Amino acid sequence: MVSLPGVAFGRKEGDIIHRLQEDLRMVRETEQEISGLVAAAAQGDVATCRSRRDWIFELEGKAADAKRDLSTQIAEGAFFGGVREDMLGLLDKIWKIADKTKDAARLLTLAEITDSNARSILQSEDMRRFLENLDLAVGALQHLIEAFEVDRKTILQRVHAVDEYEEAADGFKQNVLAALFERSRGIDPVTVILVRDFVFNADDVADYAQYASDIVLVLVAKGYG
Amino acid sequence: MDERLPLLLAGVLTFVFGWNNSGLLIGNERGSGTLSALESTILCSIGMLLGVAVEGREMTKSLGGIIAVPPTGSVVLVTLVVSIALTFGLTLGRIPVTFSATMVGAFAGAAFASSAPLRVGDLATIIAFWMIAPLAAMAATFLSYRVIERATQNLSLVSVDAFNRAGVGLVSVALAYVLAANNIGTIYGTSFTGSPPSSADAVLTLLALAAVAVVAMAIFGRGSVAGTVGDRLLSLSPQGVLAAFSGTIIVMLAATQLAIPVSVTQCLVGGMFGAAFTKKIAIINRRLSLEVVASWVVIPLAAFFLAAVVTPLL
Repeated sequence: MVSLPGVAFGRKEGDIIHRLQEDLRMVRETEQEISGLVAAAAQGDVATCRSRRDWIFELEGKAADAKRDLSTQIAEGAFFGGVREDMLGLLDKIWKIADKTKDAARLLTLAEITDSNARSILQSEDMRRFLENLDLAVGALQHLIEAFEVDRKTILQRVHAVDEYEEAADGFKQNVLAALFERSRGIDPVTVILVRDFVFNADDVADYAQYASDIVLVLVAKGYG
Repeated sequence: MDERLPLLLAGVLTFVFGWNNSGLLIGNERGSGTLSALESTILCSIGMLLGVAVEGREMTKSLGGIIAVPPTGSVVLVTLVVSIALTFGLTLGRIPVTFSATMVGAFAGAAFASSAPLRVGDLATIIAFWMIAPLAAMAATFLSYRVIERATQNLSLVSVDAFNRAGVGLVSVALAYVLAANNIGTIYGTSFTGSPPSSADAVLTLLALAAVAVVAMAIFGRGSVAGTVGDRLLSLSPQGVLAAFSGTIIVMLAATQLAIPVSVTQCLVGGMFGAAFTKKIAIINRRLSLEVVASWVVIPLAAFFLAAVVTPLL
């Protein structure tokens, strides 16, 4: 922050950034529930699945409220000149991470997964690494947003980490889907569709983290003139 | 002639001037997204009042200096009436008026029709300055932009935004300062025929005129002409606005010290292009650019001929 004795410039901007970080922390908390949900689904623990799903829905609702409040604050304030629309876009992409988590959770709990092949896919190392990289992508986005208070060089260094984790998640997604379709003959088609669509929606989590990081690049390009 | 009539007309002209420039001052600052309408209005008002109080009297002889004899009552009246009519009409039509050029054109036209001997050299100096002003503002803006770029390159994104807001706030005051000093000073300098009033009276009158301009700016400062110059011509980042304002201020301050009436539009348009060239801008509204540049020639000429036609009728 630029500061002079008794005067602090950047207080408004700092407040927005702190709220953005808080919003993203809540979104990540939502996203981090997926692995527990998948583990419960793989064990056929319906009660845990439902309670985790409900918790994800609740967290997503809070993230949506936070996004709405912050969007209003940004839209009404006189700051982030020239990049206000991009800031709103960034907020939207961050919230989409929680939204896609919710969609994925909804799909996985539509029906109980009883097929052992399908369960083994949910418990596979590829699935674990896939979910891990989703979380790492969102974590990298958190780290990136923190750099808003450091400098341009740090932002540019951190922006690539999100891409790397998204790419890694993409690779494990490919392996999970390949395994699913290799073993699909013995699995109920509805279960195949459920697992496939779950993977696609979960993958959107990393995609939206990447979209958010793309907006950060735009913010840097515009923000520094 | 009643001595209060030119002063009354000067008040009306100052009101129209405030209206015409309100968008330019407030609109650009709001457009850059760094200041709210209220913040912008307050800062511009402070700048205007300071500008006329400190430097407004520098312009007392600006128009009178282009003729070899003191201006007659009819020259003063025609200058003010023609300036009001043209500025009012063009502002209604949302066309950015080269305000000082209009006044100089009208004054020269009225003086010419009154057979007052024109000081061609002084008039030529003013016209030459008008031609140089956009280019000088462009160069000053280009340099200002580079300085700002260097100053912010190692700051955080949050601090850059804070820097922009503080910077735009400061240059808002400064731009309003030089604009009021130059243009309201010119209006005031045209509103009397005899010897200048005492400095205390002059400052009070100038402050009263500036207050009229502030009222007009506060009433009408929600867009209009600024949209023409700023938004439709090309789009600038907050740093671009900061640099363009800085370049404009430098040139207008120089003009005020030389007692040359100069148009803020001319300087600001030059400044905006200076900021745009730092990014090798490819998209410019060519039609509007030509319209603006053409208005710099057409409007003072129109003022000259209109004044020349009206003067014999009085």
